Amino acid sequence: MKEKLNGFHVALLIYMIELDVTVFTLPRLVASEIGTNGWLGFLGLSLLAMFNIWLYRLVYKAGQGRSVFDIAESALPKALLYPFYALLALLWLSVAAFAGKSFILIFQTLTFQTSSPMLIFAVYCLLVYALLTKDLYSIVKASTVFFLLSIWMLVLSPYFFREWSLDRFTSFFFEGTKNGHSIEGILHVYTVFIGYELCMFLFPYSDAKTKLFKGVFAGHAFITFTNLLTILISFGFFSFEEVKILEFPVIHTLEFIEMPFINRVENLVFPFFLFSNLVSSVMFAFAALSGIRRMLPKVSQKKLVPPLIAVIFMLGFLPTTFRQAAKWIDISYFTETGVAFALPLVLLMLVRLGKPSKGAS
Amino acid sequence: MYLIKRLGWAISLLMLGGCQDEKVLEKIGFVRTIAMDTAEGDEKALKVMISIPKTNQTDSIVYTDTARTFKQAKMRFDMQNDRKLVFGQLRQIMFGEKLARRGIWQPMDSVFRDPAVGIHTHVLVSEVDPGSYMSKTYKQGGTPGEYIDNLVRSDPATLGKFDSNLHTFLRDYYDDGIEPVATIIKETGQGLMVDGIALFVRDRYVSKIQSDDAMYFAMLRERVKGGSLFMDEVVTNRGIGTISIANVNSRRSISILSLPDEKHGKPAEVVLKIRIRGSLLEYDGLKAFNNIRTQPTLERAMEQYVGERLERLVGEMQKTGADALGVGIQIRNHMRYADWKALDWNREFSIARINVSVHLNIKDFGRLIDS
Repeated sequence: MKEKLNGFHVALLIYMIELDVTVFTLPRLVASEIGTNGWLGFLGLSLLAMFNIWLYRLVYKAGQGRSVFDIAESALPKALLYPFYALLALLWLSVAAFAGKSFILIFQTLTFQTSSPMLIFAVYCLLVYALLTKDLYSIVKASTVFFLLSIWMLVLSPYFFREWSLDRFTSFFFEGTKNGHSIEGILHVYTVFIGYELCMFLFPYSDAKTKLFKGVFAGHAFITFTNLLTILISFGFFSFEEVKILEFPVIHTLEFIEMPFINRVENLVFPFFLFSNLVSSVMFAFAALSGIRRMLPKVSQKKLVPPLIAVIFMLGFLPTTFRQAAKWIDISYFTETGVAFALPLVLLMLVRLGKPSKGAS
Repeated sequence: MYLIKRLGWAISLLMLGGCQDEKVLEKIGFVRTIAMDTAEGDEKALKVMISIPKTNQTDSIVYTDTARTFKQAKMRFDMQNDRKLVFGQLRQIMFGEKLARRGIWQPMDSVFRDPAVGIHTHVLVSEVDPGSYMSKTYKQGGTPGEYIDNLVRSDPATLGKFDSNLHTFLRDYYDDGIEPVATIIKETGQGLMVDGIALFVRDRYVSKIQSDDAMYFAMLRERVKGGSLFMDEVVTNRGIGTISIANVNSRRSISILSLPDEKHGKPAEVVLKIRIRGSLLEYDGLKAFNNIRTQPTLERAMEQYVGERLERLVGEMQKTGADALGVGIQIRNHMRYADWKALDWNREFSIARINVSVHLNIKDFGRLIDS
């Protein structure tokens, strides 16, 4: 492992992991769970995620760049840890699967309405497979290319300006939510950030030159910016009550774009989201792969990847409708949010526990 | 390189997937227009018409049916048509006046819910049976669907300001401080024309702005760029005359003097400030004003005229409580949430004291200078 990651690529990678299927519903969730001018609350949640990332930074500093597995195993016996690895791997695989499958279900509202979603999902899994058999550097390079393929969408945002009005934001703060404010609702909005926690798998691939956490923070700040832009566009473009009832406000705004030579641009633009969603799936699968490889160090990566992809594909059978997809996304993302917060705290404790034994050796 | 090769394979496979869900262009009927009205003799039924252009792009096939809902009618059309009906290229939905007065939410919902329908689809109202336009051929060329689409987009009377489409209609429908509007279409001997603007309260058509007033209405509702105004009776101290100004740019601002207070029975007090600037290109019977010194007097007389006309328009809107101007948005943004929610804005709007203050400037007088 001579090659080390570059902070810039880390930023793009974090951006791409965080940008997934949850973004399509984001303005609606912000409106119905946080309320009027919910973008302020969204910024607050982003700061919370920043805090979470800071916890990972503490782990990185305290562990002196050791991988999270090394930290855990220096404090606790492997037999105790392996069930956790397995459970986490399953969780990450399901996040990868449900994000992919949900994306395909949404995709099918626009095109290929009558094709079998599992057929498309199979191709999706194939793409995940193609990337997962490579090492992390290749994944990172691919995600940089994918980033360039999707970031141009930002230039579409001025298009909405002439139909945009600040008056529609209303002068109220956090009013008019669907059913008051609930932890569950806020958590719903928070899931849009899920993905930054995978920075803990980048520890072994970085050194002092990488400026790992500068990259993670920058990536997170950038995704916060683009998501904020998305929310602000939706809030000024639609009326508040309308944002609350639109299933996918983001796709709906894309629909508005019309050029002299082409209309219904959303059909062209939407597939570009595939790339960012793909990176999310690949990186969660990569996290699962890292966990499993730790348990089975003797089995080669080539042999491990196909069964993992098969599991992702099988998990894809679970959601077949929007309702189920939303349910499974909720279950997996909520758990993942909990894990994202719990892991650095546990790891910090383990670093403390592990230190004496490390000193002894 | 290896990675790229693999991705290439995967992408080709992805494209192959498209063959399974094929849609052959020649086997698809692109519906251009949907028209809906009440059915004779049945309260719950809808009269639904659709028009599909033939491949020669000038004629169209029209289907009519009476059904409970739009989608039911669509299925029946599917059984008659030799090509599969799709709505991706839908250009307009027309509602007959009777249906519009009863409320269009149900049919609107069933069209909008379909993700295939574009949100630029125009929402129109017709005072006569909307189906009557669809089977005709107009001199202006193309199918009626295309013609109406171009007409509503470019309508010079309002500069296409009211190319009321699904997006604007639903946005204003859901907004609690403004009511939606839709363009009214009517047939003349020479073709079709924009006959005015339909004002809605929620989803019910309640009153109409005449086409002569459309530009004035546009200035009340939003910013206008490049419009033209015709004033038929400008009263000055030196006689009465008609004036036309072109290249009109206007800005609207709303200042709120007092908020509505239901407890003390005090209505809202609002001033709509309209600033207009344009080129005076025609004035008849007012030659006494043909020098630059007297132009300000003429400007004041025009302000008087425009102000009165706008106030009359606002008065008409207040009669039905249709706040198509968005005064409610400004009132809402000055109130506390609970107070606004407790307020019946449609009622408050109809009793509000709304004054219009006009500031008009003549930018130039065209090619002739009468010094």
